Amino acid sequence: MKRLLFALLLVCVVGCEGIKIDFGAVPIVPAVPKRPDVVYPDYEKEKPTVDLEEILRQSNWIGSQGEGEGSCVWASMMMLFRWQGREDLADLIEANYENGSWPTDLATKFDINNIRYAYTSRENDVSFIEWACATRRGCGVTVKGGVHMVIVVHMDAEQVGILDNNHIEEIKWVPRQEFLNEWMNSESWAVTPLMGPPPPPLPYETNR
Amino acid sequence: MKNLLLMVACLIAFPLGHWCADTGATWQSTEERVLVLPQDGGQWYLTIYGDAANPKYQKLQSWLQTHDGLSTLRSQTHYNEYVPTDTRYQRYAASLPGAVCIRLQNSKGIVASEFWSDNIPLTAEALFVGIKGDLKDKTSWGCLRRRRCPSPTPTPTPTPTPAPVDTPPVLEDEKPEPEPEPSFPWLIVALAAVVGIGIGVGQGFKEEHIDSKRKSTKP
Repeated sequence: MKRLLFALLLVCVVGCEGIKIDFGAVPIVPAVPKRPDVVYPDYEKEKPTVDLEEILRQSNWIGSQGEGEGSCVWASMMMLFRWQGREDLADLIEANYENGSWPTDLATKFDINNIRYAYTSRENDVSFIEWACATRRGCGVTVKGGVHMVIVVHMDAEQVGILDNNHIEEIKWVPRQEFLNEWMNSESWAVTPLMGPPPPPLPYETNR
Repeated sequence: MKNLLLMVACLIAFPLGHWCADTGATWQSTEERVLVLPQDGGQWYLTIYGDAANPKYQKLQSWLQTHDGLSTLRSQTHYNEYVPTDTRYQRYAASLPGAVCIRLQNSKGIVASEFWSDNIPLTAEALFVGIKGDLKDKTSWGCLRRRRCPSPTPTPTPTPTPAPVDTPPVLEDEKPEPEPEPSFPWLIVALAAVVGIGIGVGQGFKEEHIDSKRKSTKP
């Protein structure tokens, strides 16, 4: 009888170590609701790339240094900050800076405020403006021999879109080469902040 | 005397050289900061639209920070949030299928994945799985859902620089299916049981009946 019990005991313990009993449970897959089809409005091709709403555009203003001393650089930067979703930095600029500026001056003031930026000056580096538009950032550029700054809101093979802080109601379209000639004769300064993501494009239907 | 003059000259030159080197380093770092431009023109766009007071909007915001997969997605895209009080919200309002909406677009603007209102899944994991599914199932979402397939442009315009290469976010791969656990060897156990019982019963029977009979019949 003892052997019988021993045999039963052996049967009970054989092969049980490390084995999990599978009761056939189904793995849980998170439920993703089915969605109806969406048809988006048939938007036209995004032009200009930096399509800043009129209400967010900033007019130039006369600085404390008197007549002739505008604040075009600051107005341009404010518009780019607003495009990049940084209203706070646009407000900071408006509250603290005015009058004219130049590359090293702007760099110093941006550094003080921990503002990341990129610029080129006196190098006729067209690829900088192309980069700024390809990344949907836009950039401030000097014109009129270097005494005025506007922002480039679009650049393609034929045209350049200019938003001038002296005429914010409209975007001026200039032949590409004509613009480049003027820019290169204006110290070829171009600058853009790197502080926020550009807004998304509209949901286009086709791959443009 | 010459040695002394040389030594003095060295002493003067050392700090001067050191100062020049510092200036150069500063200049270099400035140039570096200016010259390294982020090449993110091909980056995708992840956007939340809706009323910030809406619990679904708040959930989406929270998930994008706390869920591993979704926060990774967010970090690889241009991420924006727009509420109806934002000036820019109006720009997209007509395209929104629902009041609270999360939309993932490629760099050209084509919607790759979108969840809105009651279609927003109940958990962060489900949303992640849904987005991942949409990215995998590009034909159904990217073409069929838009009802119109991309048509070739008849007159391509030359571009002076190559367009940014579209860089879709890389989501965590599916976890590999775990190796199937070995099923419990019921057959072996049953066989062992039968054999064991058989042997035990046989032995017991032998001991109690046959052997005892033998003992009792022995003179």
